[in-house]
Amino acid sequence: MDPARFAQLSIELTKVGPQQNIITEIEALTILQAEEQNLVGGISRPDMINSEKERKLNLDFKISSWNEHIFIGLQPTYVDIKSPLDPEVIRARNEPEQTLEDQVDNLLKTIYIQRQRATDNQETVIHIITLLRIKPSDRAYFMDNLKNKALKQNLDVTRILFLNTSIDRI
Amino acid sequence: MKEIYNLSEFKQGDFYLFSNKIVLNQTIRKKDFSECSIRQVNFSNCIFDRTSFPCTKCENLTFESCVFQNVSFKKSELENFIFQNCQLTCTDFGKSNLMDFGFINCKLNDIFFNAGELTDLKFDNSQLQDVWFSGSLLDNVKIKNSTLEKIRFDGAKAYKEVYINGVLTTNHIPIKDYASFLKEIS
Repeated sequence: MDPARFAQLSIELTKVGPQQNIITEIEALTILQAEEQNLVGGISRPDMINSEKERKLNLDFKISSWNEHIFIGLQPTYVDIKSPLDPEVIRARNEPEQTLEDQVDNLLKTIYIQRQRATDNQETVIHIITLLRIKPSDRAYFMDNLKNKALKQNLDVTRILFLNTSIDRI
Repeated sequence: MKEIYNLSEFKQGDFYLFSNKIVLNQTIRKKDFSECSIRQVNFSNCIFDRTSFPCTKCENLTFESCVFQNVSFKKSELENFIFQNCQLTCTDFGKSNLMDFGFINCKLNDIFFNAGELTDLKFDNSQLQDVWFSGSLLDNVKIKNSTLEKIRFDGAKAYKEVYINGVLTTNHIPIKDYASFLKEIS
């Protein structure tokens, strides 16, 4: 991974100034992994300073190319990254309890809203969920749980990708 | 009894749950509170500068006579905040869920409430300039006795309950006419 690109993508330029924090770094790491695995390309951070539309959408990355064998019939223009966290870490931090199931519910709710907003603006967003911060033994369960709930909610799961699953190369 | 805490020396990892504290007369500069949970804290006479609170869960916070400049609360779940006599400049609440917020006698300039869900927000006796609600879903947002300049609702929707054929239905209505929407919420 190119450190210069990581540094560049981990900074979000916004009207309130450049933002770099753990979250933006996880986002950058994940999108570069996706690029390395030939899932997406032509990545940039949206122009939140000058573009009213980008601020309205408020998504993590813009892309100009994608793997047509994976995203069949889709023309994604944006990617948003999600990074669930191991409930034991949350507990160890003394934070309020949040199970994997709670996190799945929250993610699906957000994914639905973001897709709707993108559609309203004639754009298409795909979501990448990095499982790096979940125990390897819980990852398959997390994916199954999310897919099952998404299907029940009529949410197209082909627009959701998982990275750092137990079978990924890291 | 809440304990008085010195937050200006915070280093990442010092804590992830910060609760039942009072923070007085401090300058909190260039801090990263990513994924922290902050509950029942009273901030008084503090300056927040170039500080970010991304992916946080915050509840029951009061800010009295505080200054915010270049502060980000992105991707967070924020509930029951009261800002009183505060000055907020370049502050981003984008992509966050805000519930039960009160801005009383505040000055807001270049504030972004974009792409979020905003429920029960009240601005009272405040000055709002360049405040953006673009792409957000607004439910019970009220602006009273306040001066407004350059308020934007591009792509925003208002949550409304309407009776259709006698059945109470919830709708998300796009906000197109800013003037009449502002009149409706004032």
